[in-house]
Amino acid sequence: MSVVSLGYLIFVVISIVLYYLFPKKLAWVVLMLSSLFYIFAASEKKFSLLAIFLCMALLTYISSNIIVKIKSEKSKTLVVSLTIIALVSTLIYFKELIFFANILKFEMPKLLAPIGISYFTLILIGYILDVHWGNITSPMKNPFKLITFAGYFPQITSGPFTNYNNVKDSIFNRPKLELKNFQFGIQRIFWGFFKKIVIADRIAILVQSIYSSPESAGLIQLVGIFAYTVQVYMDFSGCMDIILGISEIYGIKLAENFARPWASTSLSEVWRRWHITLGLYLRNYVLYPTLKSNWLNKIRTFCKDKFGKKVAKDIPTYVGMFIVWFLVGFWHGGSYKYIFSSGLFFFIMIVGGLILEPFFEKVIKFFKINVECFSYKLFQQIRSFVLFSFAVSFGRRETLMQGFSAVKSVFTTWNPWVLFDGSFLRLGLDNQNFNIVIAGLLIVFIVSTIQEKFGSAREFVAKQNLVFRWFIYLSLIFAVLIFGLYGPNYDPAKFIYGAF
Amino acid sequence: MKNIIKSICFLVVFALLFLNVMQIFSNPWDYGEETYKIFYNLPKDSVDVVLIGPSGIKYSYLAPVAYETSGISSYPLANSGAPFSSTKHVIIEAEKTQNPKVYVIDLRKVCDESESPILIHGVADSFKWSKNRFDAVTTMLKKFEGEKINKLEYYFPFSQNHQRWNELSKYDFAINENLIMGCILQDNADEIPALSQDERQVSEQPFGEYPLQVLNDFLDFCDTLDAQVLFVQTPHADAEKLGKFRYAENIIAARGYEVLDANLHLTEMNYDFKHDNIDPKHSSVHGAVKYTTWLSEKLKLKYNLPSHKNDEKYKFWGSEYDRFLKLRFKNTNSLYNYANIINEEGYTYYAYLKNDDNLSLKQDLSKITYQTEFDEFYYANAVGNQGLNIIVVDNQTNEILDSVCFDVFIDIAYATHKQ
Repeated sequence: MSVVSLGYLIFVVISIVLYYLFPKKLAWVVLMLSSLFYIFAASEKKFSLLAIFLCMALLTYISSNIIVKIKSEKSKTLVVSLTIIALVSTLIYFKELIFFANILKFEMPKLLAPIGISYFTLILIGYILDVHWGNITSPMKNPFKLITFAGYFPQITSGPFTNYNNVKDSIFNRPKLELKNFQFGIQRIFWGFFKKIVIADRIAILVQSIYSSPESAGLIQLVGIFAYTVQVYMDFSGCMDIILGISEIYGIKLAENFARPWASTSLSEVWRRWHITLGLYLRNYVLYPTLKSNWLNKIRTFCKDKFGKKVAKDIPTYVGMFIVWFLVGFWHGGSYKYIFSSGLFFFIMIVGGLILEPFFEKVIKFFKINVECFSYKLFQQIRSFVLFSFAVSFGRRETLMQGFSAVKSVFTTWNPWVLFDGSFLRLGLDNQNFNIVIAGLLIVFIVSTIQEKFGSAREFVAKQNLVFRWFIYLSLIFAVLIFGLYGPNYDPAKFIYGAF
Repeated sequence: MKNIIKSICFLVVFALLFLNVMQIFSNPWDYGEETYKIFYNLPKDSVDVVLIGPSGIKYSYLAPVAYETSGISSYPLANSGAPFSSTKHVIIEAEKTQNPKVYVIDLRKVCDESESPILIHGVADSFKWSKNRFDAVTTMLKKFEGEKINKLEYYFPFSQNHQRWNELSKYDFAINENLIMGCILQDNADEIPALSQDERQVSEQPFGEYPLQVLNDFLDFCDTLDAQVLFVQTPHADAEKLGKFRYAENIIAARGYEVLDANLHLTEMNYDFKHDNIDPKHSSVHGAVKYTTWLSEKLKLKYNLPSHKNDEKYKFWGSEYDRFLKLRFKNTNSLYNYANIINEEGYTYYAYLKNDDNLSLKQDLSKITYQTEFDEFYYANAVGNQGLNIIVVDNQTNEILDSVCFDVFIDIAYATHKQ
């Protein structure tokens, strides 16, 4: 059940109506039932897959309630570790087994995973770790509430990763019904649809055409690489807008997952603005614990004795970052292409940048480059976008090697005439559709600029006069209804991040 | 409270805009929606005869001609490819604003077993939003039960029609001027082969269970109507289905309803397949005039229908007839038919033959008086192509009704009308 399908929207409307019709105390039950129904319906209507989610939630519930009762730290750690191992094993079995099947050369069984397993598993792990570390003082006494939190249906297909402390007040205590929540929620949903079905799905046609043609090379391949990044961004951030908009109507404010990543001046900043909650999750639950771990302390001590303070400070950090980036890549999919494109490439670039930082500073000083001016910032932004695009493009290829040969063709094929001979108009998008894409990107750029300057574009529009405001709202709605790619003869493409 | 009122106002504005947008984007399926739009706007209870059926009716029945010749008020509520199962719902739709005395039902689709679901759009999308529209879709979808089709798109066609954003034309925003009260004016320079009366003598051939059920259901529905029902066959040369038509005719007759097959009266109406059809299944504008004149006289006599000539309430039929007279020229593409109109109806015309390359004539020009010397009038008003250039002028107002050029140096004299 795709988030852009009519079935999903009808389901959401029914759920919201029931949510506000039920007594306040029981409103969370509607959320739970909606989530269970969604997991069941979106998991090929198989009770066994729903049961997997329920078992994982139940295990987490039992463990979290046990660890607050036992006093021995060792026993606590043992319970938490066993729980995490069980959860991670289930996730790996269903989602990443192919990675091991390829390495160990065994036949991959035909597996169907419960919808959202990648997300709710990490949410459950985060929950039990928070209980263990005392961030959650009192674990949930009601197992159904844990099911509601971990399975909250808007977030489990593509995120964002939710921290229990951030939503516990709103998810179990329905906030007062406010018109503004409705208005803002619906506006955001339409904005998400605009990004997804007006822009992303059009670019997807171009990308599919370029990536599937072995003859695409040089400039066409380069445009394909950049177009794919824009597609992923519009697709993923559009999905987030829909999810956050739906959640806003429920009165539950989920964490933002994007903060205009293309304004970033470095790759590490891109990752602080792109899939923010995943970055925060890995920082809080992987990087920090790793840096504090005993084995890394031993390495730190070893380095200090052998190579001095600076190396002793840097090496454990790099090791921690390596683990984090490896897991980012691995989480995106159990194959080398993901491990490289969403993980290790960034590790190499970011760590490489840190190591070479003194050298770059010397170059800047030597050539007297003004790093404060607009053009330098623009250069940094373009550099970040280009590097990010090249990395992400590997994830779109069949294999890692295909990715390398495509990148190679960019630098070895000279064909600038394709910009002028209409080659791009033969890649699935005609002139009119290209215009829609360009106009759409321009609108997104304007909105992003308003967001950078004023914080919230919706608040900005809400302050305008009624005629202008309604004009904006109606234009957005009709742009989606008219220019959106939906309906018969159109297979609603799943959100790219829904696959992870 | 203020915000709630504002929100309601916003929703109302949105709904109004959306209804208009849906209408603009609706598929121009042989002007089905425009046909209904004109019908809905007719004065209440002014239509005595409603003709229902697929394109056979749409191309062959000219309501203004019927009004001019016999004074009856009629309207063809026809949709190209309309499944026979939709007929009941068309009648329900018609009775929302009219109280017809007679329904004329074309049998062209009575035996169609190979319908495509896409044809549902042709009828249902023409209706105003109402329960009947939903019921019509449900009825027509019954044929496709068990098949994997997206039923929702038939109830909400905008989900498909919005994809037309890059093909909108001025006719999506205004009624096509070539549509005369639901009739499409067309002509063809090609000659269409006819069926002989011997070829039309075939024995009945039963058709499948589903169309039989649909026919019986419709006849049951007819039994409940106050109005009279006449089944007809418009002029056609569809040899394949003749046996099935006979089968349907016998069933209908057994239920006490009459069937009038125009194909058995072609000589009576002076109908010449060769020049009066645009293809084996559809009449040209000239065939439509002949068929309409014949049928309307029959209807008037058979059902004792009143003449509404000179009645103010029916002036729309009169004004549409005037429009038809002008448009007929622009929609006549065969030299044979063109010559017939200007000669038989005594129009003033100026004809010039332009032949720069001394080509030999391939067409008979004996019916046209033409010149080969060109004057200023020619240069100002003629199409000016090689061939026979004709300028037709209104006898009373001197207004130029049409300027056309027929390429008489090739086997089929194609017409180029001046825009």
